[in-house]
Amino acid sequence: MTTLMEQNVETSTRPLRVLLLAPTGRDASTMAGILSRAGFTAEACASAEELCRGINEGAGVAVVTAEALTPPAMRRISATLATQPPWSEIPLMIFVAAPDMDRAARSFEGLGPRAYVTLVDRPIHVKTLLSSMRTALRSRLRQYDIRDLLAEQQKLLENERASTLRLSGLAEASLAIASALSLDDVLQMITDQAAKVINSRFAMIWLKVEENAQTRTIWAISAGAEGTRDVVDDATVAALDEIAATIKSTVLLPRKKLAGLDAMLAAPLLEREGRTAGLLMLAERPNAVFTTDDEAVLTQLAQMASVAVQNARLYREAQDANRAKDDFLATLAHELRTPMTGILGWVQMLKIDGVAQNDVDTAIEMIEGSTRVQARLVEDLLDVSRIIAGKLRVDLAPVELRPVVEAVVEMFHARAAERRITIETKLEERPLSVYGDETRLHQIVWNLLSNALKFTPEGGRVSVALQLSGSKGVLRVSDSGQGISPEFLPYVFDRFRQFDNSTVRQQAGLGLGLAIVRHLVTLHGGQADVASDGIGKGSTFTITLPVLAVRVARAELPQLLTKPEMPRLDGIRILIVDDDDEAGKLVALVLNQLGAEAREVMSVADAVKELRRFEADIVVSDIAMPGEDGYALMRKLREIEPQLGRQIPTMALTAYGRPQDRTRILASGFQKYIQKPVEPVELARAIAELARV
Amino acid sequence: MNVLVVDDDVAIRTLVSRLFARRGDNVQSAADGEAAIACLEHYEFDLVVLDLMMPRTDGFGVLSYLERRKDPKVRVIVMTAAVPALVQRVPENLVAGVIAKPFDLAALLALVDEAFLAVPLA
Repeated sequence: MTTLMEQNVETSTRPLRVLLLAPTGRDASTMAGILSRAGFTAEACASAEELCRGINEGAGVAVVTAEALTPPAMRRISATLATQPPWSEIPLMIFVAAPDMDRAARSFEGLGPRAYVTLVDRPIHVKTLLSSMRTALRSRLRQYDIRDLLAEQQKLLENERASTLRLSGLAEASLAIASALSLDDVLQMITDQAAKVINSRFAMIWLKVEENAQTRTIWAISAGAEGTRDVVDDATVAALDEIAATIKSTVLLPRKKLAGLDAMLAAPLLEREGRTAGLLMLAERPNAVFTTDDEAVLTQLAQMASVAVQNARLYREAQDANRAKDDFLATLAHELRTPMTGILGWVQMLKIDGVAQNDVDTAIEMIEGSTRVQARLVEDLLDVSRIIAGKLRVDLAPVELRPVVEAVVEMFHARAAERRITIETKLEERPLSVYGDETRLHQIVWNLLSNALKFTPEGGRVSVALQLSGSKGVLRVSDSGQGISPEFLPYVFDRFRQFDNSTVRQQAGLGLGLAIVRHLVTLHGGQADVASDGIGKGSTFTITLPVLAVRVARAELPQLLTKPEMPRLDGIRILIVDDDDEAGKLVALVLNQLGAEAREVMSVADAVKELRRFEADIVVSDIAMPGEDGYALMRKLREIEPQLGRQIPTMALTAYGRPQDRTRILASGFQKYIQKPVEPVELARAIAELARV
Repeated sequence: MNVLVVDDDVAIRTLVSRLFARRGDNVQSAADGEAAIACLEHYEFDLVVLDLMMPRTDGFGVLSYLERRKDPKVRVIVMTAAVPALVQRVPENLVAGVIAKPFDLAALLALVDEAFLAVPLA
């Protein structure tokens, strides 16, 4: 059991102090001295007024002599006792001379019903005084315990009420999301709940959604604060934009951050890939600050709103995709029946008795043409179904791009001439090899050219350009055709989409060609892009493919060492730096095959990191890389070489091939320079030479 | 009889043209709606055999041109590979018959005969 004095230490002394009131100051100070020596906190009061003030401020016991209890003093003390909180009954110890006891007891009834009086005989033995004092204070302490208990219960009750409100608010919000309400209605509901649950003066959702390639702003203002919308000006919208761009979680904003809105607590509404699309905000509620509970609730409501926004988008996309699929099936039916009609009709024509020889010739020609159209259609469908099943494979080997492009352009010359369309070509003079599947590369170029010709009117122009750009091969096919509207531009490479779904048939075909192109290009580690200035302004398709680093097919790797002229690179540690993963891997594979220990990184920063743990004998680096290039790597190497305590021989392996490139590269500090694509043996010899230095 | 065959597919256009030429009709052909309207402006036809889905101006475009011209003499047969939902949009009063691709040559000719039998004796 803890002693009274120990508890005194824990609790503030004020609620346990002993207040003394005696008419003569000496009485009071004598008693105060005795109590203080025994370890109590005792304070003498000069008047009943001061005693009452002391009781109100907090005290354990009030000690009063009978003489001090004049009628006005009794009235004053009675009034104070009456205003005590329900749990409180401050012990009142009255010192009375023994002979007066009965009379005094009666007169003290004037102290009122809330007086908890103990009469003490005078004169009093010190030990008795101290013991009575301890008893009184113990009783006072129990009152404090009750007070704390009551307060705790009250707090629990309030918390429970608040959490019930939160739960019902959150439940209502999630019901709203599950219901078939429109996005705007759901967001309004969530806004209202936010204001209600957090008991805030004002709540608002501000959100930008992409609909049909256009941005729409949604405002939802909590009920009772609708007028707020009117004070939203451009500056406010700019501020909202700024907040949305910076916050990633629920935050307290500085007061008056927003003109006219006095917004305080804001939570981001997240769209796909964690992009902030809008905000759920609360303005300050009267006389209170936001608690962590409020923050948690707002975060949850913001998450629900985010889910609602994403649901709405998914629903819209699903509907669009479904419509696109329906349109595609209608087109497919049409495109399959059309050549079938020609074939069936001409076969019937052949069966007619006495058919003329020139009709037979025409029939055969027409049947062949229609069959080819249908065969290509089926091939495209099969390719797409392989793409969907993830089963489209490419057989990669070094391929020179220029002859592929030339061959396809040649195939289209006759068809272009028929419609007086000019095909202009501007093809890279330098060698441009990629690591690719020749048949599929052919198909990519064929589809792009076929597409360009389809959409170019008679007398128009199609241009084909192939160039080496950094360590990429870039093929551009432009036409002077009907162009593409900005709304359709993002969907050009999608399956089952054609430029329009009206009955004006653009040209024969399913619109699968471009979807196939994009997929094939991706399989080659490249990228397909489209640009158009709009309807009637033509369009440009751009294919970017990484340039081949080493002229070798994966299948040939095992045989590399069997070549007699091939040097061995046993134990040479090589770090390869190339932003193109495939290129870097291929170089590493070749070098490892020859006995080297080659590692590959994709950026200058990673190279610097790797060099601290991998003691490379040689660094082989690409020059053209996004961000930090090969020259930057050279500067970094010079910086860290003192720390590494050694110099590392370097070799540039780059598609840059002009004499001035070579000069600049060697001047920057590279010991060797090799142009991509390199023969494996040439690469190995260069490495072996560098290793000997 | 003067016949105009309109289809963007070369095999079908040649086939239907040949079919009518064998009957001894005077046949012209067009590869899209625009070319068809140009022909209709310059010559008089008894019969137009018309595809629906074509580049530039489609079959519906040709039909509305004919409606504006109010030529009581010309009969229109629509031949199409389009889905039924689209075929239903063909105004009945403007066409004498609709035939779905692929079709029998005999069925097309029978439809033409029917169309001309149905000509009211004005």
